Amino acid sequence: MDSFLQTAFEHTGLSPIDLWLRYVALGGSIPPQDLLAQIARDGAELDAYQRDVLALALNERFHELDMDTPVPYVRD
Amino acid sequence: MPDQDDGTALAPDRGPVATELGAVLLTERSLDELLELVVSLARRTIGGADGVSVSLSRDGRLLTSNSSDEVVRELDEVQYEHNRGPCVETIASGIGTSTVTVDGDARWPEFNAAASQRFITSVAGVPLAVQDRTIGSINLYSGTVEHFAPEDLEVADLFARQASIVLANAVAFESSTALNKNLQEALITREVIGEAKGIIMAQTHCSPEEAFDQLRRESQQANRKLRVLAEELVQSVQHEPS
Repeated sequence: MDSFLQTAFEHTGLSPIDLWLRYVALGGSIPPQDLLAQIARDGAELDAYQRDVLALALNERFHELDMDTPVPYVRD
Repeated sequence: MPDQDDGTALAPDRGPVATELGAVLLTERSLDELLELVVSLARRTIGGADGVSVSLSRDGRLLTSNSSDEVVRELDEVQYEHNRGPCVETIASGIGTSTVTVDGDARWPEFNAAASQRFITSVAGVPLAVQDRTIGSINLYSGTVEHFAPEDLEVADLFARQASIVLANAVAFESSTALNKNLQEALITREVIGEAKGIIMAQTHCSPEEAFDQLRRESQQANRKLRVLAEELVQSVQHEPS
């Protein structure tokens, strides 16, 4: 089963470390390898806040690229 | 290397060359300084090399990072522009281009024309390789010899091997320097966003996650980066200087 987050991440063109840095800058606290593992699993084990910080990191990048911001916020 | 009395160019003992390169302290020399050293040492020690440049492959493109003079740089550029020439071939194949006499080699017409115009008589490219990947080349240009002697190409090759090691380390160091800087910026941003969340929490008696939600929704509506909104909020609560 494909991970939506993984697909989204791949569309950002960011390196894993660049994504992690953006996520950390926005307040995320999961270490890089764990975050990447969670992305591959579509964030099933992420708490809602961490998931939304990740969503924001991805969406801000899409916005930079003038693309739609497709990643939903679970806390909405 | 033993002296030769047949008048061919003498290459001094390779030992000091290798030592000089190997002793470069990466924390104190930028990659550019390092490559300048490579170019000047190669020119001094490789017989027949009147001009030397270093080509590097970066993000799929070739560029001349350092050169002993403009003529050599221009001749590199001719090769990049037409995507053919002795140095381009060296990088593409990973094999040293054995010395090429410029006159009459049909493979690289644009390069040959340009090189002849500038009185270059022979060229050789020596690959710079890191972990079986060719990352660039040391390019030797001569206006004096028709071909580089085998012993001179040997020196060039030894040189390239030493340079490759140091280059690989320098490139790794530079990328960790970039990471360092990016991490620092991320941490600064994180702190500002944390402060903004704290301000919202104090103002509205909410949780940190709710403060984040508020900032996030505002940034969505305003179409601005959350970081920017946070910076403005933090600025706004501070006292004006009197």
